[in-house]
Amino acid sequence: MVPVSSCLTILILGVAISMPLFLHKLTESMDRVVEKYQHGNSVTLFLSFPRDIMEEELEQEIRELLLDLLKIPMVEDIRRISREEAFEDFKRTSGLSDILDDLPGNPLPEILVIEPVERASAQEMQSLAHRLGAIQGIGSVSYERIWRDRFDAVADLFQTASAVIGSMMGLGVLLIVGNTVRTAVHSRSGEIQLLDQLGATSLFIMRPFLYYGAAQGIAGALMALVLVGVCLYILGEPVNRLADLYGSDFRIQPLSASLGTKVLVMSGLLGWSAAGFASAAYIRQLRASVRGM
Amino acid sequence: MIVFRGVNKRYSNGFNALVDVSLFIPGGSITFITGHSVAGKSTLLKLIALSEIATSGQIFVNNQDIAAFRGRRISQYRRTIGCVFQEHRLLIDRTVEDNVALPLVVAGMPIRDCRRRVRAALEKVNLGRLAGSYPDTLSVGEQQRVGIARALVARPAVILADAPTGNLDPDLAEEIMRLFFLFHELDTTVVIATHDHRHLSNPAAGHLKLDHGHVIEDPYL
Repeated sequence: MVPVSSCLTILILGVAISMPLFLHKLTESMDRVVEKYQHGNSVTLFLSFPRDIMEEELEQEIRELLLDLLKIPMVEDIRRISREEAFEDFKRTSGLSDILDDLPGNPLPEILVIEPVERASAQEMQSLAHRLGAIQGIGSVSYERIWRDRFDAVADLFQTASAVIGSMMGLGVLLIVGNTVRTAVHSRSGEIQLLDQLGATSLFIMRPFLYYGAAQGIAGALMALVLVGVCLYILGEPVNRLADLYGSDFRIQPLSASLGTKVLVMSGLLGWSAAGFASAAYIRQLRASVRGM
Repeated sequence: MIVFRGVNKRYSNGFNALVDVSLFIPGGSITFITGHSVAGKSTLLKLIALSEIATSGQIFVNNQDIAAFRGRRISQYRRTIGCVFQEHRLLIDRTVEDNVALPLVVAGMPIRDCRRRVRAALEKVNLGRLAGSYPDTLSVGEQQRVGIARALVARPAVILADAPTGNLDPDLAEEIMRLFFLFHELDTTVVIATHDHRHLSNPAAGHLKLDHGHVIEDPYL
């Protein structure tokens, strides 16, 4: 079987397999980010009371508000973050403690973080957030899940795109290997006819082509793993820098041994199947034409 | 033993290669089939080899109705037949030894036994010294003898030869024919389609004559 055309086929297979593989790696990396926000279903309430309100009066108002909120069936738990706690936390995380210490007072509001019941859907949560916003004493409402939902939707889109492109590329692998094997089978038609006449079974005749197809699939997958590995290596540094600038710990995940093995096995099987279809079809056609003459 | 009963072979272009052929070839005999170029000699051999299927009629080889064979049974049957082709059909990218070993490899024989049988077959056709050579380095006569060694290596019950001396000079043709008579002495049924009339007078051989798909002379009836 011609080595130059085999190398070209392996190269084409490598490029074809690398595209869905690369997309899969991106999706996997995104999934890890989404996972971190899996518990971000809470609703944050920023309370709004007059600045000059007395401490006891404020505590009384908050207690009453808490009791009212706990009566709502979708509310599982409420966590309070006092103005002082919020201020200290802000000072610690912002690195602006000197400037903040010079402020005449604490500008941050009292905060209540509502943890909803487990079964609450995104729609229900949005309507709850809307309802809470109308309650006296609540200045603004922040619903974190909306970001998680949007992130989930983007991840889903990537996952679906990866599956669709992967299926198309799988079909591509079948066609490419099938066509290469068909050419190899035609170039060895004399040998196949002779073996058939000597009493070789279809499987005996097909065997070298099956090995050839599987080898091409595996070699194509190896090429794809190398290509994707190099791409991830090249992209890794700038992506990490960008993520750091945005305060995110997003990282492109490197290729794992299990994913590499899966890709190799699947490509090998695809190559094997393609070679099986191509060679079996040729043998069937050959036998039909010889006997039907 | 080969028996044809009312066999017809009609090709898709409408040509009738064999018409209502009934014949009997005894086991262990050597039979020459003669006739003009479209008499049906090659078709008759192809039907015995199951390279083609009869349009109608029955063909028995060693009491088996081979027309009823399908799939794997056809492959098994073909392993019991040795074929010698006029155009040799040797694989040029394999050595003489590997070419001769093909029927044994196809039959799943272990490599060590293959080598022994191949050497013996090559010695029979006086080509033992050329076992490691490639077919395109051999003369036409040597190539034909490699083809014969390949046909006999699996010790088939029947050897079919289609014009095996067609491209050879008289001396080489004589040598090749001597080999076929040697197999016949080993109790193998040998059927040879030929235009070469020099061997027809041999009393050990039968002579079956075809004309336009009809048997016009049958030595065994």
